[in-house]
Amino acid sequence: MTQDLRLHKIVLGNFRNYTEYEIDFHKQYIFIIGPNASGKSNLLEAIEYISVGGEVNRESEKQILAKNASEDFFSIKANYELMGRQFQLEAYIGQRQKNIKVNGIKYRSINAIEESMKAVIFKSRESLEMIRGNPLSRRNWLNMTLNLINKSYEEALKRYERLIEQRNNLFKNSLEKGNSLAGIESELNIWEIEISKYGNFIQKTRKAFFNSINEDFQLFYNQISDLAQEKTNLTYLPNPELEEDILNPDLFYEKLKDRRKIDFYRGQTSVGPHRDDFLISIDNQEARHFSSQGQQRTSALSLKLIQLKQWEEKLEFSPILLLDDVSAELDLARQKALFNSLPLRSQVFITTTHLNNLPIVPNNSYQIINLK
Amino acid sequence: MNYVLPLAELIEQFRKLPGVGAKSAQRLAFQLLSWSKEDIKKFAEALLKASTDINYCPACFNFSSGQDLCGICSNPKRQKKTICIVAGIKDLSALERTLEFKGLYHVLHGLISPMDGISPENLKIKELVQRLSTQEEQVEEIILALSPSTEGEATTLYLTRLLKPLVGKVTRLAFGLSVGADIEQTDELTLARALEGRRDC
Repeated sequence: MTQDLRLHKIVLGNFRNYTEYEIDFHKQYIFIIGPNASGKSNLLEAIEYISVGGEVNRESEKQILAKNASEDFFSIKANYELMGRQFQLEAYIGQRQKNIKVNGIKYRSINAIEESMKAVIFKSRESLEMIRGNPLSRRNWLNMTLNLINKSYEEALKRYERLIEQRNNLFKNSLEKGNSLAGIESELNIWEIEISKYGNFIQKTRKAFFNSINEDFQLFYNQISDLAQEKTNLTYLPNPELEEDILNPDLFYEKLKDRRKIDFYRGQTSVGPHRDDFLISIDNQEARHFSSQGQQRTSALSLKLIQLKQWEEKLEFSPILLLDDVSAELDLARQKALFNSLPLRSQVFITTTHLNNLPIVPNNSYQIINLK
Repeated sequence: MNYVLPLAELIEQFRKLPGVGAKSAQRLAFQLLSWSKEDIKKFAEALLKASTDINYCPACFNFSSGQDLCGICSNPKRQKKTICIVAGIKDLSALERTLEFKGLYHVLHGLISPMDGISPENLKIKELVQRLSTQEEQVEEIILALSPSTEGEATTLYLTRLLKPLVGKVTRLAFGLSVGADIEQTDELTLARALEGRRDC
């Protein structure tokens, strides 16, 4: 018996290549092995779909439905254990309706489930994009991580996004009606005061978060890179740029005001936390531009392990960890080191094409699933 | 299915109502057809009467009949020194049900929301400012009773700025724990706000 999250069974119907599939999981480490296109990632995607923390695009549901499906919906059923209690999840997802139940109780969405499965996902390609790509993918990770551990942050973020939309719409409406900027000033003031209030809260929370995770990032990074002595640093880059390291709602408000003329004609808001970013550096070099693939993957994995640690502290149980095809991407030394730094309590699902180097996990703690 | 024209038209009218789909509209129309001529006449008259005789109160924009002040504005027992501002008439009814408030109301008929094309000019704000300067008895307090949504908050802020120079006291409803709530079960944001808005015992 464990207090942690354990997925015991999953039953799939019309889910990608699985018309009908049922599998039991009875260990902490699950290795899913099979050649390319055997459905390894699809199995992980199904777990991802029913977990909070999943990155499945909920609009891709049409693509998830198996090609030869006899019905117009797919289904995922799962049995899991959490904090010593048993849960039975059933999800029937179609174009027209969604039906999600846990222990017989209906829910609007996976996120609405009180005792939902939580998962941290590492997919090689997407995760690399987080390091190399545009700031949006980094902000997505940041928001996903923070939303779960800080409800006030989640609420502030929702409000902030809506306020920005209101400000942009005010500009668009005025332009359409041929109103001048001066004509909407008193209303604009109101939106900008609200934006700076919530925006400031978001940025303060993010700043404190980065201060608190820098050490862990270095730690995880060193562990995975097998103690290569590289110095890492995460730097929060708020927008507008900080003056003398102060996050002040009045300063932010002034910046918004400065941008009015430009923003008015574009119908956009060109300054604020919706344009924040953070910088990862390795030995004082920006990882995004100058690092090797191995270093970038190690950075992405370190961020995911931070997410896991932060969630674990908040939730008081360990989320599931899903590792899609890591071994193909990391060299042997890093693979070994990665498995050594895996969280001790999480259930871990790992896909790989062959098991020529089974990582060092205790003998009775793993299960191997062979897909053809 | 093709119905005779009058029936098809009746069904179409019902479909305009919120929450009424094709099937419900059909059911309602068939139900009406089974009524006696007299009952149908009463029904139609009630509809017409509601649309012609119900107007907005010229002072507070609550419903009123004819061209008169509404029941609240014309009630001599209500204190005229306090005006409570609400977004809609449904909010007014909710506050009335508490039996706690003895002052007058002012209905904005909406909240500022550029997304929905609603700007301050579309609300009964000009009318409020005018009312403050023309009402016989001086208004001493304005209570802003708008919901704490994004748009409610923005409208509250807008009105606060506008009204502070005109009225002695501008207040807003407290937000916090709902009655019967468990502190342990309350979300962090509500708790933080309740803490912020705490008061002396």
